[in-house]
Amino acid sequence: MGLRPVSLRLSPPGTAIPDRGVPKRASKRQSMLKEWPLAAFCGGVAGIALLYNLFGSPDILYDEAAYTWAAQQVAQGWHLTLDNQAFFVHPPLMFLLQAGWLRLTGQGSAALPSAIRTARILAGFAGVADVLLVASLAYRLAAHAGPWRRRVLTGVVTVLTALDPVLVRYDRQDVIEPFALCASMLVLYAAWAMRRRRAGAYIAVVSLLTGLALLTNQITIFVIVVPLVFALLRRDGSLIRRSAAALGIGVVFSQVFLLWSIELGLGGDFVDVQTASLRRLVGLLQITGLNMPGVSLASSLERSVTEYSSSYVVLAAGFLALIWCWTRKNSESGHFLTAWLTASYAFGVYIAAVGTLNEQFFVYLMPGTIVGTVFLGDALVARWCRRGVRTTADGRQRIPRLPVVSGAVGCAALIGLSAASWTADYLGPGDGVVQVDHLIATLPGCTAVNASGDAEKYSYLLGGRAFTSYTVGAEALADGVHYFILAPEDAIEANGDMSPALESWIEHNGTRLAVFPSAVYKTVQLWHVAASPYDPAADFTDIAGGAFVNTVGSDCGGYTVTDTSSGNFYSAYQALGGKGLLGAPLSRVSAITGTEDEQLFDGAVLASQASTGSAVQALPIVSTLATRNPNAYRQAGLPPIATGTTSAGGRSWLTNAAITRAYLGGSANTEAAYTAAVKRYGQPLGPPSVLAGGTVGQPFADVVLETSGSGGTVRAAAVTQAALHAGLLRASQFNLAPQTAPALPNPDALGPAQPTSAKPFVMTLGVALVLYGLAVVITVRRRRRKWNTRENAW
Amino acid sequence: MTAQIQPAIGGGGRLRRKVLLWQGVIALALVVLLAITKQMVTAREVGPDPLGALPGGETIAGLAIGGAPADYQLEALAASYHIDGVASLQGRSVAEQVTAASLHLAYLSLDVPADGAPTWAQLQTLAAFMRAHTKNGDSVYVHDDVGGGRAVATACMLLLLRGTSWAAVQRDVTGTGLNTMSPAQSQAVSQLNSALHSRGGSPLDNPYSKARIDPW
Repeated sequence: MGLRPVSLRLSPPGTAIPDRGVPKRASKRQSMLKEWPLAAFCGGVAGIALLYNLFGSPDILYDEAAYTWAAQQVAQGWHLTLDNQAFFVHPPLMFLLQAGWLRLTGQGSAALPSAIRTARILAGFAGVADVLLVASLAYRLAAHAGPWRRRVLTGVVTVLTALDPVLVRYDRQDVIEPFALCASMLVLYAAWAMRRRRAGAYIAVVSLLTGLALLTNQITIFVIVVPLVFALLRRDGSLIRRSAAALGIGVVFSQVFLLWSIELGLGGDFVDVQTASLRRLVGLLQITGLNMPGVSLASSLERSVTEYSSSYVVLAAGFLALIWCWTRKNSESGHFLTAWLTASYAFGVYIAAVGTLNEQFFVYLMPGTIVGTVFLGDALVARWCRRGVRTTADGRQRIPRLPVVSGAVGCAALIGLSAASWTADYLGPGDGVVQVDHLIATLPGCTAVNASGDAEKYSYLLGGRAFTSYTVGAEALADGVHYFILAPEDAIEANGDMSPALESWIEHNGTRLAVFPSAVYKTVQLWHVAASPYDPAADFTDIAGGAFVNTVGSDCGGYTVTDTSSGNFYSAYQALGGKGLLGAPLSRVSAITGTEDEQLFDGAVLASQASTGSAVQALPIVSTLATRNPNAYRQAGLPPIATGTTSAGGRSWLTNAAITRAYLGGSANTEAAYTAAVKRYGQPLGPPSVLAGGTVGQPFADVVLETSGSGGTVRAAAVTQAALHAGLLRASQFNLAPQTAPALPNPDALGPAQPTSAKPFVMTLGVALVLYGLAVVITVRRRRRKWNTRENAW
Repeated sequence: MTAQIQPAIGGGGRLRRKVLLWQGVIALALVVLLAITKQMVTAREVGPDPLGALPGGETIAGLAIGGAPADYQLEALAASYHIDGVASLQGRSVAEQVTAASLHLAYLSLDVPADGAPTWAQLQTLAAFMRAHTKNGDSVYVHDDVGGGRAVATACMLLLLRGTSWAAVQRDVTGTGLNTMSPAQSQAVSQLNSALHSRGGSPLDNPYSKARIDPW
């Protein structure tokens, strides 16, 4: 198919492009009405990209859980807080908006997962608005292109924005970004649309929007500064004054946030929090993001390249667009884009090189870079076309086909990359956090689970259920915690408690119970790390006077072993080898008779007699069981007892090195050491025997010591259970009810309570808006009067 | 097809060479400025201070003391303060011991009474531990439960044992730190100081009468 001849209007190179005259408002409206197919296309694409499977993906981040929870607190009682202190990290506007929405939809006090779904609807529509605002601004900026190309450019911008992996990630969640981007895009749109309106109207609208954007998120300053940069690039004194005034008034307006803190009597706290935020942004304090010590930026980029590839391409192409803009003579729209790209890259380069490199900050960069990329592509294609134009014999000019095809292919490839990423991330389920929480909810309420990254999001979603935040797996296990959530992405980013070391420990020691899909966290997994009752470093918490040994589930209960007036059970337990040899306790200290207290352990029964003071001894449970109930003894698989045992003969049975070492407490086999050992564990009842499974066991009067065939660790066989089953010990005599575990460490203990009501903010904002409105009305009236007076005078 | 091949941006052609040159110079200056800023910010960059976050956490003449650390705090201490060993004055904690082992830190536990001070034997053990784990610029974290008198008194005694004068120790320990010591702890420090510096031998009722300077 050959190219059809076209007529061209070419400007000579090297000349600045005059701006088209502003069409009359009526004709403009008419032409806008003709664009309804474009509007429908843009709306449809944005709607599908941002709302499809909204509840299923992306997964919930800490911010989303915390902010929705905070919005619920506002909806319920005006309290803007994440704990019991005022929340000054971000301005309150988004929280108030979500609180109103949640209240309106009856989700103000609903379960958090349900509230998050509802909140996502509002955030998703804010995301749709973001896309449409970017597209609308691109449409306006593309005024130099013909109608058809303008629509194509707008359509491409829409598709790229709607599918951009970074934008979609955050615009589909109830976080600040969709709202803050919406507010800042409104500022840009208004500033561009009203650039030729009178100063009063421009300042009135732009400054109000600027203030509202800053009250949504202060980081929008890097976007809303664009009109001023644009005015400076244009060297338009009037526009510079107007833009500066609008920005200045907006900044003053945003101080309602500061006023709120003062009204709460917390001005000092506000300054502290904001100073910390500023130090983080500047890079003086690195506590989050990819510039944090210990986080590899290169590996993070490498890992995310498949997911964010199109964003990276756009960022690179946008940078070329920035260079292109700065090196060309530009139209007014070109200058606006230059200002937009300059502000975006100034911010982006700084945070990437020096400041806090949080992924969500790129949300504010991407719109400018997408528009820049598309316009750069358009400029390159146009330039190529212009160079390749050939005049036919009949005097008509023909546009070469290759540039347009190349542009289309490049565009399709970029869209394809974005679409592939979108399909992978949002077509299927990706709500691993919610799914793992559902699974955890089925575990007993007492079950302690170590969170991955941050404990709060899991906790908020499960109605405040406590999660632990151990960074060292062995310590968690020592405190009785056996369940671990593992999100690989947290490990890569060293997010919160999770680290590659903890990930490796969990994988090495645990069993994976479930794995749920999550594009955000690269799956969310639940692991169980089992521990032997004989593991001295597991389920063992030091408490005053002894220890608490967890024996039920994951920190669900156990028994204390302590030195008390009933007897020095803890000291005796430790002297007999502690948990590593005797195993875990099976009961509390129980009064068996008026003068005797006993405590059951896996491998022995310890008893104290009133007559012997606080001294505690092991009872001869093995010899008693073997004598009174030999069948039960045999059925328990315990080593056979020799007949005619004497003290001298018993010593000659110490033939297994490992058992002998344990029996004699590491001492040499001397008479004194043997006598002491007999006192501890009772005399030997037979020689070592090979038992079922290849272990070697040797009976003593109080315990049966076992070791593996090759020697090594020695432990007391679980004779107590056999004695209980045989009726030698009566369970009813013992207090077997597990005790509550000591409180686990809580790194997020509440600080002193503060006033947290957002009501004063709303009142102050209302008053500020009313005063602002009055000031605008008065100014407009004065100006009109002035004009009327002048007109009358003429 | 009617087309208007006018790009949306940059359609006016390239800027003059002189302007481009200036812009290049400015861009280069900005890059240099960014590099300088990076250097300056990095030099002043701080993470959260793990020692400051611990109750009574402070460094006295290179000796880190404070309250009982959680696992993440111990991990951060090991990274930020080059901690190579942990000495607990509140007795053994299995959780802490396994955490220290996981982080490849040495661990020592001593049972020092809440209002008491280390005995001479315990001080000798501590000094040996310090000697073994303060090489190559490494440090030891000595802690009790709340970073109180036990930790402060122990730090003072370890410094005295190293040969630091009492006046210098007093200078290093903050006023609030010294105030956390109980009368018994203050007396123990005084007795050790007396034992270390009395030429004619210290009285027999001084529990530290056998103490000698033991640099670690």
